[in-house]
Amino acid sequence: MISQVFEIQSHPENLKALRDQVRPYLAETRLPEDQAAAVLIALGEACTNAMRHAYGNAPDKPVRVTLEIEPDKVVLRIRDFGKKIVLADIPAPRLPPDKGGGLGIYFMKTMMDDVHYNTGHPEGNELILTKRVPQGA
Amino acid sequence: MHIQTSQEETGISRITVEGDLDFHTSPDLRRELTKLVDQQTPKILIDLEKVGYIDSSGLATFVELFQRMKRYGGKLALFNLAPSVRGVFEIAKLDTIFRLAKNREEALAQLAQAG
Repeated sequence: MISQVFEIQSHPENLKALRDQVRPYLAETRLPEDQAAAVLIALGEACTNAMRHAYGNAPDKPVRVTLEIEPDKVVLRIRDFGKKIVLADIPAPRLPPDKGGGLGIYFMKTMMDDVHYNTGHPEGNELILTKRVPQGA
Repeated sequence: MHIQTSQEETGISRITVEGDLDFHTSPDLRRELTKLVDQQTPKILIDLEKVGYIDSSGLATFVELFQRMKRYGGKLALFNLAPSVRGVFEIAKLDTIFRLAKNREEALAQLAQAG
């Protein structure tokens, strides 16, 4: 298993650099290109949620991303140390949306095979995103 | 991200976007689009050929634009979407309300039909 940790500050300008760092690891898996692209979008949504909702747009807080690659799945753990986010409190968006916003969680759920929060941390949030990797010849 | 605004013909503005459209860069695009909407530009064409990544913040920018243009009867068309970018619009079911054209000519034709 490959396990790699990426630490960024919560400034939105760091999102692209994070994607650029994670992308080569996904390219080494059996994930088709479109699914690897979807994983990067889900990662971006998770980090954006940490920046906006957990940290209230404060730009200098830590966001730690752990990427785990196993033969049959890719797991991303997005850890922040801000305000608790309760997934159940976030309403499902109306589709197509009639206003900006509200799509982030929906995108993560649509693009990944599993999305859940580890609520066991005394401080902050850990969002765990899992994508199954197709098996075959 | 780089944004270029140009005049296609009278009443039609074209915005060319280059780069990733995410939570960091979407406010820049929103600012440019707001200028056009404040002038009640009748028709806006958006070229996304050089956009390889769009997230929900990017989509939200277009939804807000669409809603604001609707209020004054403006028309919007997006074209040259990469398959991965088009896929994001489809997941949000925005392909059912937005004009997503293959190319500039098709986008102009769609806007012409829209009156």
